[in-house]
Amino acid sequence: NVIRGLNPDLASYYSGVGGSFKCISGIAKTIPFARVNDDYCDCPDGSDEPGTSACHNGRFYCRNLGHEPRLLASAFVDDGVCDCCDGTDEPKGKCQNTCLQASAVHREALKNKISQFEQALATKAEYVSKAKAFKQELQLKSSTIDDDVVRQQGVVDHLKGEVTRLEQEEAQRKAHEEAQQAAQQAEQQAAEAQAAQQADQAATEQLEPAAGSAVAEERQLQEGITQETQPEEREETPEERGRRIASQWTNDPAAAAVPGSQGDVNHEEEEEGQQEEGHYDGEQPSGDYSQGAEQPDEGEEYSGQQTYQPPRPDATTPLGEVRARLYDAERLLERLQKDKQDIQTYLRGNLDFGPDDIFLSFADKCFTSYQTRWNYEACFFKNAVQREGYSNSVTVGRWYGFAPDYKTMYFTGGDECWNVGPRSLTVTMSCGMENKLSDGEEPGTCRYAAKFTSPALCTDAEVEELRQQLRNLEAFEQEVRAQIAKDEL
Amino acid sequence: FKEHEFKKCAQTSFCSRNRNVPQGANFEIIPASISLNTATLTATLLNKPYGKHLQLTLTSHADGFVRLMVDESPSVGRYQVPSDILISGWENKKQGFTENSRTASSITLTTGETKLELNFQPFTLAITVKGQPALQINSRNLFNFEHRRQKQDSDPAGYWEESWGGHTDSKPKGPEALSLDLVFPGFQHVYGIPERATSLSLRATNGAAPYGEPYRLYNLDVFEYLDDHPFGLYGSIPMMLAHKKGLTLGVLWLNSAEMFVDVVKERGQVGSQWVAESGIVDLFVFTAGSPAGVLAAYARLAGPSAMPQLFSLGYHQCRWNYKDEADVKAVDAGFDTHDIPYDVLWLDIEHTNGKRYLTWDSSLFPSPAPMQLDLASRGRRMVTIVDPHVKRDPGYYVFAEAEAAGHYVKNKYNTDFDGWCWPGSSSYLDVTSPAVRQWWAQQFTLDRYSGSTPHLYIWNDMNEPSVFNGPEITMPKDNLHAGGVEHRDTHNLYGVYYHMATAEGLQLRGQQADPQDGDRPFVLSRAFFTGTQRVGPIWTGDNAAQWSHLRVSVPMVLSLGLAGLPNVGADVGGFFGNPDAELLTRWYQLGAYYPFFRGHAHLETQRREPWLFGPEATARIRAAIRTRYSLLPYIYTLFRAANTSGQPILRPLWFEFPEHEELFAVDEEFLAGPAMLVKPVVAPGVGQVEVTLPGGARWYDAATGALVPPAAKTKSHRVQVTLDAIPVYYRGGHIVPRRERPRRSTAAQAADPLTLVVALDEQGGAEGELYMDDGRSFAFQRGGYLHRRFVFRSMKLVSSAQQVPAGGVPEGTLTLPVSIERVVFLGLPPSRRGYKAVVGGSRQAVPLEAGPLSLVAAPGAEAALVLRKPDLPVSHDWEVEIVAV
Repeated sequence: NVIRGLNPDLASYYSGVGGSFKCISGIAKTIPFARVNDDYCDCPDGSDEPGTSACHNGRFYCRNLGHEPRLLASAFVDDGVCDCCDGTDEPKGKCQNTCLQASAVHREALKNKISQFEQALATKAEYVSKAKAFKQELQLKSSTIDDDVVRQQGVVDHLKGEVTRLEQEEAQRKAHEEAQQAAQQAEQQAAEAQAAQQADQAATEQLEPAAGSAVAEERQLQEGITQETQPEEREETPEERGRRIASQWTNDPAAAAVPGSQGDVNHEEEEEGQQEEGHYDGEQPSGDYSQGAEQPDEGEEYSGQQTYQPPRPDATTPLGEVRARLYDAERLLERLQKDKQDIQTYLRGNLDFGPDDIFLSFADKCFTSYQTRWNYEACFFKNAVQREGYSNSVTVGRWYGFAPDYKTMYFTGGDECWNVGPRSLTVTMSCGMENKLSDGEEPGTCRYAAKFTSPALCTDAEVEELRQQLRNLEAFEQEVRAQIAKDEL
Repeated sequence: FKEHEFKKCAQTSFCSRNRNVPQGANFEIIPASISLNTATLTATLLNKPYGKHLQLTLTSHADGFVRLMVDESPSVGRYQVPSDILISGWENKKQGFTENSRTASSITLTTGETKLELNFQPFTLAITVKGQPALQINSRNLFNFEHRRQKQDSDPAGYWEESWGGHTDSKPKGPEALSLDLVFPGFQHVYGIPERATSLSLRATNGAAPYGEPYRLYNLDVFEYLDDHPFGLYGSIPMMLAHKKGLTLGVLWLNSAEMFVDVVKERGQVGSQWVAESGIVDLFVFTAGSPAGVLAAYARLAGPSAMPQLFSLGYHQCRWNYKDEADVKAVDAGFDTHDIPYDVLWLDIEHTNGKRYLTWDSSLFPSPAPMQLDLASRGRRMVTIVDPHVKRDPGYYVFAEAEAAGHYVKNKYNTDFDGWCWPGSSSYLDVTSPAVRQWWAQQFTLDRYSGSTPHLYIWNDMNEPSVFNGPEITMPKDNLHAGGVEHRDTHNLYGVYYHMATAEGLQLRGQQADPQDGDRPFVLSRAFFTGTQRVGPIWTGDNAAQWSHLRVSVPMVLSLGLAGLPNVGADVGGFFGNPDAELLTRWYQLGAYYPFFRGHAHLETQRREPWLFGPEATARIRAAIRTRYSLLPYIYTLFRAANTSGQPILRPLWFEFPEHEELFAVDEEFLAGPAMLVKPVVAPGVGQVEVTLPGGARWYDAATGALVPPAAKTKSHRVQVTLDAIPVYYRGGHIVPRRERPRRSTAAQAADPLTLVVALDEQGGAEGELYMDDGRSFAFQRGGYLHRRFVFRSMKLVSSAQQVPAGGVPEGTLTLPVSIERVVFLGLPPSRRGYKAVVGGSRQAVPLEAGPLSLVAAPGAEAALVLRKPDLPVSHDWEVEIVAV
């Protein structure tokens, strides 16, 4: 007779020799063997009831032939829910055996994972070779870079002089004309201002007799908003009061700010943004993205150094031609300066880019984790910020470095946090198919955390481990099929 | 708590006009006007300085109460609380008055054991119960009734308008306040008038701040409420109990306007003054004499507590907010991974599309129905939040339909009121109108509430109503409801009506699925009033993760139970702030005994699911929640007692020991039902606690079964405690049914066998009950239930059908395939060779074995005598005889 739920590793305890059973652990207690699995808990360690729910601390073993064996809390035995894929945790007939299906799903998932890993490792190799090439290139440039910069600076200075000379000629020609025009304009503006002042006065006088009516009250409130010069005398609008009270519940002092009182130029924009969310002042309107409007994917990456480039001047006039040459010379100077800076940073600096300079690929790159309320942005070798909406941001740390195992990176010394000190961010890194920052959160006050996944973190050992798992699984399935074939004979 | 956001009595015109202002002598009964007609006395009450005639009506009711009404002529149309706040039928059950004597200055009446003496000049009414003075009305000369009047130029400020905090209240009807002067002679303790965070026995309000302010009854959304303050919170029940040796009295002033109550403790009596802003005097005096009798009488008037769904007595896991479907899945799986039972996962406001209730944020919850079905496959449910403010968005179907139908509360200009709440600009459903309630109820059917399934239940928050930009964060008093009723008259009813309408919606949904037996609604509310007990549970609102809030939750929950609203709980862990492992553990250990048991947390707190505080804390919290599940047969039986006779689930010690004066002010511990005493640990780092155990009873440690040395007098016992558990005791003389198998949910327990704990009293006897039904439908109302009575006397344990309580409850006809697997005896006298049990008519005796009292708690201690596996069918009569070997 098979003992239901018995873990084969413990089979020796259940021989039934002598017609008795000794509770396996805890206080010494011997009971008649007939009390094993009799649906009554006798042993404090639950060992007498491996196959029933009688003990609160028992363990039920599902063999799950064809899949993975499982030890189940006895609470889940005969509770109406199929927990084991072989269905043995419930009375016969209640559950279907889904183990081979579960195994097949598992096998496919494993194969998928292996191929993804292989791809990731290829990407990783690319990072390493790119880093190597980048450093070699810098190395080549490094011996002459200082001279190159000085020489190019000379070229630029010369062309600037040319441009200045030509511009002065041009300017003198135009100066006379413009002086005349400006005088005319000033006259016109003065006349307009006077007219406007008179109109305003007339409007105010007209409204005064209606004071006390609802319309006038509303008008007064509206005026209150626009009178930014005297904010302290202004009464809150009903909406402002609503927002202020709402903000109490979110403990967010920034949310309680009364828009307009500081002459904030963005306040109207903020108001728009807040419209959707009474209690999240300053948050982006979640009501919108829930309706399918654009919400960026979590972990989006972009370069942290996108600077505006003016267009190349038109070279058809003589002045334009010199300007264009200056433009080209300046661009070249910029490139050389950048090279110089890169040599300083990446070649001569003492930044640690990890084994084989693997993380060099992320230099100048920022990653963002989009959360419901806060977004977290981490820029490698630079800094990390937390943003709320479009206007509210706080630096949660500056680049500190990697942990010795390169599985964590730290940003420290961020903005001060009341009663806690400077903010900091810890990013846990792990192998993943994409470069992605995720799970930005604040597990302790002003102590932030996020996760970063990247192919750069993947290792050969991991994929070999997966391959071994797959081989084991395939061999096991073979065995099961053979077993089933044998059972059928 | 932002004190300046809220008014004090002195800043409130009607309160300052009446508080401690002696005007009662102005009121006289006109003797010739008295008319006595069996159970009804009517008389004219004259307000002498004004020559104003008022109508006084005194009625006697067979259900254990008398009623005093004072009103102007009905043509004035003063507001009266609608009859649907109470149940129907009680008005017809009257009990006649006997006129004992009548003189030129007074008339004396008796009804049952209650005697009333009505004095004419000035008007006073004295009530005695069973020969003991019980209540005096207007004996301190503080009665007042402000009749409706024409505006005069000489009227004092505040009569026709008052301003506060930037809000102006236009008062088109002028002054109409009422003051009741109620003195409880010979009493030292009064209780009730929730909701507030203060002691159980109400302190005097003429003391040092903050107890220089009267208790306030005005439903408000109070941000970060204090843990020891007379200020009124989210709900109001104008019900007070006075208790002394030999007599308990209850008074209910059925009035839904803002009310202030002063309590003054004088030599040999408690005085109280109740001032309401409007309405009428409608005072019910409960004269049954005992605490249980008073609450039973209240239940016959206001209705008993609803029979809850069994699942709702399990553990609820809530957070503002579970982010998305993956989060829901992970939290649900976390409970199974850590072998912690729970029944319901909750979603707060963020699950909606922009706070448009009854919708889903489709990016976070793209497939709400499959999510609920997945939970349901493991016997679990989901609760979503639905609040009464409706986002003013013409594209939102709820808003548009209600707007078109004119279902919103109006402002004083009679256009739809627009207030600010979570969604921004919002309107508020006028749930005081039965038509609006009916419409609202229809929104919950499966076809209307998209993404809902039969496994989804509801939570009503913000129904005070909370209006962020309104006066005191609520609605202006001059807002208008159906029939032109001012919000001032009906304010405290808004919450219960909204709760009622939502519950009607779930009932409607249940009837669609099961036309015969339906599905009991589960709707949690924050605001409440008399009548809420018939609808569903409430919680004590936004508490904080502080030890003081853990502590005050006990008197808060007890006070609500004494006011006839037993199905309540505080947020485990504290809503605001971050509890450490110790506070959270202690809160679970207490929360396991709250009638409503939910963990909840604010949006900006750290995650605190039970397994996030390390393996030791997880083990302790697991044990606490499992304790709850093991007690569910007992707790469900207690809920049936609340449902049939209004008895509270958690009881102050004096409720069960009404003659023990030393217990009248105890609120650090309580009884769960009649049989278990619980002493919460409400401070950190505690190695021992003082437990007060009422004298004359036997108490057994619920972990080990060890008998506490009996004492005739109430004693304080110094008890060692560890972090593993709080002290809990079985009371001798009681039998408690338990289920010892930890399961993942209440549904998974349904077929499990029971354990009976038989704790003997001094005479070697014990009694107890077990109530079971399908746990979900209304079939129990047709007799689809099982109610057993267990009696152990003369060494014989007998199971028989519990007598059906009077009042039209049908006999139970349900049988269930559930057996009793263990009977644990506590307090059997020592027997040298032990005991054996003869089960039923069997010839063979089985020895009682040494075993643990509970498998879950302290299983190592095998100090109890256990009858092993008698396999007694729970549905049938049987006997077990215990014989010394």
